[in-house]
Amino acid sequence: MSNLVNVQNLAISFPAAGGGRFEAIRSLSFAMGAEKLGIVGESGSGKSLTALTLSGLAPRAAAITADRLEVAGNDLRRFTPRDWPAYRGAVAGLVMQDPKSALNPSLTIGRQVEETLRFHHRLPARERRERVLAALDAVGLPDPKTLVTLYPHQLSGGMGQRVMIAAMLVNEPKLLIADEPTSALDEALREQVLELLVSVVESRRMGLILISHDLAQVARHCDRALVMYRGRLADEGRAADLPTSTNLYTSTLWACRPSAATHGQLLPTLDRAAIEASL
Amino acid sequence: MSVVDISGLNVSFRQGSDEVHVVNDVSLKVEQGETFGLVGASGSGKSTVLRILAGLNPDWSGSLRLFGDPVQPHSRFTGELRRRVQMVFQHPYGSLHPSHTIRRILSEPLIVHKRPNVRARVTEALAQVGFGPEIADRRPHQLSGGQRQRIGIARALLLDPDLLLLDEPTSALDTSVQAEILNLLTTIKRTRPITYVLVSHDRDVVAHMCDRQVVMSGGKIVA
Amino acid sequence: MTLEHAEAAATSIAPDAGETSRRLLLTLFGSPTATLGVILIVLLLLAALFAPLIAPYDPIAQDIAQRLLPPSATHWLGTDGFGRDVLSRLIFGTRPSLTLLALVVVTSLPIGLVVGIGAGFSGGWVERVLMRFTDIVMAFPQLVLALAFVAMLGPGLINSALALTITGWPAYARQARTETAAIRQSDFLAAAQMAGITGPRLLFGHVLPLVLPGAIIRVALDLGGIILNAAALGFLGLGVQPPTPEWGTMVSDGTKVIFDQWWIAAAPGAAILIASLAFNLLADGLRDILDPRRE
Repeated sequence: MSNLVNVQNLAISFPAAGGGRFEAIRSLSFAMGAEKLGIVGESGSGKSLTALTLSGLAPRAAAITADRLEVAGNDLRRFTPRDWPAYRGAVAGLVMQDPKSALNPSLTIGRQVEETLRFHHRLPARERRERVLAALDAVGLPDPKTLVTLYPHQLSGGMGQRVMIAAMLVNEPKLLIADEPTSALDEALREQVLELLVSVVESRRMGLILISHDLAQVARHCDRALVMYRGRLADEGRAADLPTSTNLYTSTLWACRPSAATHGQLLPTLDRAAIEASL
Repeated sequence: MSVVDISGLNVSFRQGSDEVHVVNDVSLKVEQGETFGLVGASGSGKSTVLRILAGLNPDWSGSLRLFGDPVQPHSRFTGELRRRVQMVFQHPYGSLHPSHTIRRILSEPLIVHKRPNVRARVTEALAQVGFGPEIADRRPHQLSGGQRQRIGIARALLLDPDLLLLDEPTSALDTSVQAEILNLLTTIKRTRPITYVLVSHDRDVVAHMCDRQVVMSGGKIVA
Repeated sequence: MTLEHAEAAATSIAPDAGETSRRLLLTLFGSPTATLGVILIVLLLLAALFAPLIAPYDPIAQDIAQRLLPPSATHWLGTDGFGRDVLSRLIFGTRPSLTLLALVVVTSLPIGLVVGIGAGFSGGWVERVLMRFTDIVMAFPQLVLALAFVAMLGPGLINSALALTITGWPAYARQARTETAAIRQSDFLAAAQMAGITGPRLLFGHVLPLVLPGAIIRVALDLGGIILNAAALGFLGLGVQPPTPEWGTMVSDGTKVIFDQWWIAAAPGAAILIASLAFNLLADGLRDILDPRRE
C-alpha cells in the first residue's frame, strides 16, 4: 500500500526573540495510509504546526526542511504558492477549531460551501447545487434546502462545525486534517461531531489526522496515535493502547487527569527533566 | 456558622420589555474548611455568583452572609471583609497587570494593607508556590500560563484570606500544568484553615477537588 | 482558542511600556523617514536653543537703508520691509513656535487624560455627561474657537497656547476614555480592587501606565497640525506681537510685497512646512511601531 502521507525528518524553526533560532519541530517522521491517525500533545508540542504545514498554512517566518513531505503523491516541499489552493480543496481538507470564525459572516451557508466547489471544478450550476445539498445532508444537517439560505450567526456552534466539515467534503479530498475540531464546543456536542468525522472518513475511505490535546478522545476514535512533546515524537503506537502505554510521557499524561477517583489526592505530574532526557 | 450563606440571590437586567435573570433564586451554604463546587456550562450564572461573593458585582438582591455577617447589596467590600475574601482568576494572561513586575504585583497588596516586612513576605509568598526570589524581577509576559497562574495564587494568599474563590483556575492550562496547579491548591488547603469555592465547567476537575457541589443551568441550581 | 492565540491577543491589547521604548528607539533609527524627522526636529531645537549664537544679525535691528534686499552673500535670505535680516528672524522664529507647541502639549494632554480616564472609569451618568461635553467642544472648528478665545483674551503667546489647548483636548479625552473603559473590564483591575487598591493609587498606578503610551502617540500625530495652527494664529496677528519674530506673522508681512520680494513670505512659509513635515515624519515612525503586521 503506497502511503497517503509520508513525512521524514521534518524540521521547522523560527527566528528567536534574542537572535538565533527556536526549533519548533525537530526531526519528525511518520507515515499513514487511509486510516485515522491521532496526534496528541500539549501546547508547544508542535502538533498544530504539523497540521498547518501539511495544509500549507505554516507562518511565513517558519523555515521548513524535510527529507520527505508527501501527501497523496504530492511533494509539498516543491509547492509554489499557486499549487496550494488546488491541493487544499481536492487533496487535503482542513477542519479547524473555531467554526464560527472560519465562516464568512456576510455570506449565506449555501454560497460559502458552493464557493469551494466552484474554485476546484467546472460544473453546471444545478449539479453544484446538488452536491452542496448532498454534502450538508451527509453531515447530518436537517433540511439542507432551508439551511443554504441561512447566515453563520443563525447557526449554533455544533451546526457551524458541521457546515465546515461539509464545505471540506464537497470537494472529496483524500485526507482530512482536523485541528482540535471540538475544543470550542460544549461537552455534549463533542462526541457527536467526532463520530460524524469518523463516519464520514470511513465511508469515503479518507485518511484522518486528528490533532488533539485530549488523550482519551484520540484513544477512543483513532486507529494509531503519535504523542508529541516540545517538537519531538515522544511515543507512537495503536491509539487504543495509549491509556496503557509504558512510555514515561504518555503514561504520566494519562495519569495526571483529575476525576472523582483521584479526589483529595495529589495527582502525578510530569518530570520534565526525565522526559527531556529520554527523548 | 457557615462561611457563605446565600438565600434567594437574584441578578437580572432589562432587555427591552423582558427581564433576563442571570442568577435566579439561588440559595446555598458553604461550611468552614470545605471545597465547594459550582458546575455549569457557560452562561449558567456560576461566574456571576462567584463575582458577587468576591464583591466585584454589587448589583444583586436577596440575602448574603459572609462569615456570619450580612452583606448589603450595592455596597463595596471594605476593611477586614475585603481582606478575608480573595480570588484566583481564569485567564492567566489577563489577571496580572502587563506593565508591573512580579515584585510590584505581590508587594502592593501588602503595602496598601500596611503589612510590615514586605520584601520578606514576597519571598515567602513566592516560595509557597514553588518559585525562587529571582522571578520577582520579571514581568508577566515573560512567564508561561502555568507560572502566571501560580503568581495569581500567591497574590491571592498574601493577605491570609479565609475564603478563596477560584474562577475556572485551570481551564486555560494544559492537562499536565493543570495537575500541578490542582496539586498546589490541594497542598495549600492541607496547610492552613481556608475555605474554597471553585467554579468550573469541567466536571472532572470539580469531582477531584470538591467535597460538595451544585450544578447550575440558566441561572438556577438544578442539582 | 489555543494558548498561543490568547497570549498574542493579550499582549497586543496592553503593550509593555519598557518594551515599547525599546521598539521606539529601534524604529526611529531603523526607518529612513523617521530618522529624517528626528534629525530635522533636533536641528529645530538646536536653532531655538542657540539662536543668539547662530543668527548672523540681531532679528529686531532695523536698517531702513537695507530694506527689501534680495538673497545675497551678506543676507542669505535677504531683508524684509524694515531692513531686518530674514534668516536671523527665521532662526529666532523657532522659539515662539516650539514654545507654543510645548505649552499646548503639556496642558492639553493632561486635561484630556483627566477627563477621559475619569469618564471611562466612572461609567454611568458621569461618563455620559463628560463625553457629551467633550463632543460639544469637539464639534466646534478648532481654529475658529481659538480665534474667539484670543479675541476675548487678547493676542500673545500664552493666550494663543491657552486657546489651542482649550479646543484641542477632546481627541485625547475620547481615546483615553475608550482605553480606560476596556481596561475596566479586565481581571487585573478586578484583582487590584480585591487587594484593596482604590482611588489615586489605582488610577495612577494601574490605569494610567496603559493609557499613556497611546495618548503620547496620539499627541505625536497632532504635532504637525499644532505647528500649523500656531502659524495660522500668527498670520492673523493673534500670536506673538511684533517686533518678536514669528513665522506666521512673517508670512503675513510678506504677502504685502509677495510679487516683488517673494522671499519675505516664502522663507517663513518653507520653515513652517519643514517643521510640520519633521513632526509628521516622526509620527509616521511611531505609527509603524504600532503596526502588528510589521513583526
